[in-house]
Amino acid sequence: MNCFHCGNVLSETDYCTSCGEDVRVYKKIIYMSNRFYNMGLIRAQNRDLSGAADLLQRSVRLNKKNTQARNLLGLVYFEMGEVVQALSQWVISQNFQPLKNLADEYINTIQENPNRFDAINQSIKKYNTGLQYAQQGSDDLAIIQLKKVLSVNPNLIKAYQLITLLYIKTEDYDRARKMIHKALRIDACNPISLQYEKEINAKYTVKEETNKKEPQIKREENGETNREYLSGYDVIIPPSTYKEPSNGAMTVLNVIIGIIIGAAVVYCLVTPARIASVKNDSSAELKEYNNKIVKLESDIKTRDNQIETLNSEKKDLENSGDNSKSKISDYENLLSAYNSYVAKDYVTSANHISKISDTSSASNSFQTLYTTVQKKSYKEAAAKLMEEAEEQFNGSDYKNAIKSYKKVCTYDTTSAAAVYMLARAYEKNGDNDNAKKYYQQVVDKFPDSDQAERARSALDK
Amino acid sequence: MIDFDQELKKFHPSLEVEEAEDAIYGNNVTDMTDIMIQMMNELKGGEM
Repeated sequence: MNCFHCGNVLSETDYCTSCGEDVRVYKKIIYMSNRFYNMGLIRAQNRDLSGAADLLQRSVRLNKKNTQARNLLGLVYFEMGEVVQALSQWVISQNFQPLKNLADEYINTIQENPNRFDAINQSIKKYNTGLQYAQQGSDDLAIIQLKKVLSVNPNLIKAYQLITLLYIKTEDYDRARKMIHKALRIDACNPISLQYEKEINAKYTVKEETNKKEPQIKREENGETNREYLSGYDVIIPPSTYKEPSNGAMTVLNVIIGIIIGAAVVYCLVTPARIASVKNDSSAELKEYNNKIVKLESDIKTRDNQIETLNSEKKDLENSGDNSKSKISDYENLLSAYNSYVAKDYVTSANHISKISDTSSASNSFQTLYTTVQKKSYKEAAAKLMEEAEEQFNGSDYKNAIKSYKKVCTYDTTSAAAVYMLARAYEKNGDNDNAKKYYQQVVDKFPDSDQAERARSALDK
Repeated sequence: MIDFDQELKKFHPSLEVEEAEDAIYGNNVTDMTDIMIQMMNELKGGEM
C-alpha cells in the first residue's frame, strides 16, 4: 500500500512516514476494497457470478485502482456473456496499471480472434433486437432472435432469462425449464434465474395435480360413478359386451388378411392395365413390322421391274446387235447378188437376193439396187430353174426337182405351173401330204388356170 | 406469480462494441479514496 499523497510505501502506523499524511481512513478504505474483492473471489469460485459482480463493483467503487478486483470483475462479466463490459474493465485496469497486468493478457486473447469477437458483437446486437421484439409484443420473433444469439454466445445469461420469460408467457414450461437450467449452470445464484425457476416449478406442480385428477374424470366419463335413480318409465339399454380381441395372433392374422386384400386389389386393378399396355405395345410393334414388310415388298417389286427393264434393254441391245449383224449380212448379200447379176449368174444373184431379210429400214440406194437386181435375177433364175426342175423331174430326180420347183415358186410367185409341178414332184416322191397341200394351193391361188383342173382331179384321187 | 411486463422492464439492452469507448470514458472513476482526499483537502483549506 502506498501513500495517496506522496506515493511512499506505508508502514503499520496511521500516518505516512514520508509526508506525514493521516492515512488511517485511507487504509480502512483500501482494506474494505480488498475485503470485497476477496468475497467476490469466493463467490466467483462458487459460480455465483452475479453475487461476485456485485461485490467486485463495490470493491472498485471504494478503490478504483484495485486492478485485481477490476480484472476479476472483467472476467466475471466475460463469463456472463457481457464481453464489452469485460473489455471496459480491463482497459481501465490497464490504464491504472500499465505494467505486469493480467488485463493485457485478456485483451490480447480477444484481439487475437477478431472473427469470434465480431460474432459475439453481432450476437449482442441480435439480443438487443430480440429485446425490442419482446417489448413490441412479437414473442415469436423475439424467441427466434434469442435462439440465434444463444447459438453464437452460449454464455449470455440475459438472453437465457429473456427467452425463459417468453416461454413462461407462452406456457411452454418444458423449454422454459431447459433454458433457465442452462442459465443457472453458468450463474448458480442469479436471483432472476432462481425466481423464474421457482415460477416454472410451481407451474409443474399444478400440472401434476391436474394429471392426477384426470383418471378420476375419465372414470366419471366411463360411467363408473354412482348413477342417478331411475324411474319405471326409463328404458334401460344394456351395455354391449363386445370387446375387440387384443392378442398378438389376431393382429398378425389381420395383417395377413390386409396383405391378401391388397394383393387382390393390385391384381384386379393394376394387372389388366399392364396387360393392356403390353398388348398395345406389341400391336404397335406388329404394325411397325407389317409396314416394314409392305415396304420391303414394294422394294422387291421395284427391283423386279428394274430387272425386267434391264432385261428388255439387254434384249433390245442384243437385238440391235443382231439387227446390225443382219444389216451387214444384207449388204453383203446385196453386193454378192449384184456381182452375180453383173456376171449374169442370175441364179446365184437370186439366191443372194432371197437371203436379204429386211429392206424397209435400208437406205434408198440399197432399196433401188435391190429392186433392180431382184427383178431381173428372179425372172431369169425362175426360168432357168424351171428348166432344170423339168429335167430333174423327167429324170425322176424328184428330190432335186422339189428343191428347184420350190425356188421357182419363190422367185416367181405367179407361176401356177411351178406350184403344180412341185405338188407332182411330192406325189412322185411319195409325200402325199405335201402333194395335197400344193395341189390345194394351185386350186386356191390359181383357180382359173389349166393346172387347177388337174390339181382338183389329183385331189379327188 | 410473474408479471411479464414488469419483468421485461428489468431487461436493458447490452453494450455493443461501438459503445465501448463511451462506456470506458463514461465510467465513474471517482472512488471513495478520491472523496476522502477531497474531504481532507476541504478540511485543510478550512483550517487555514
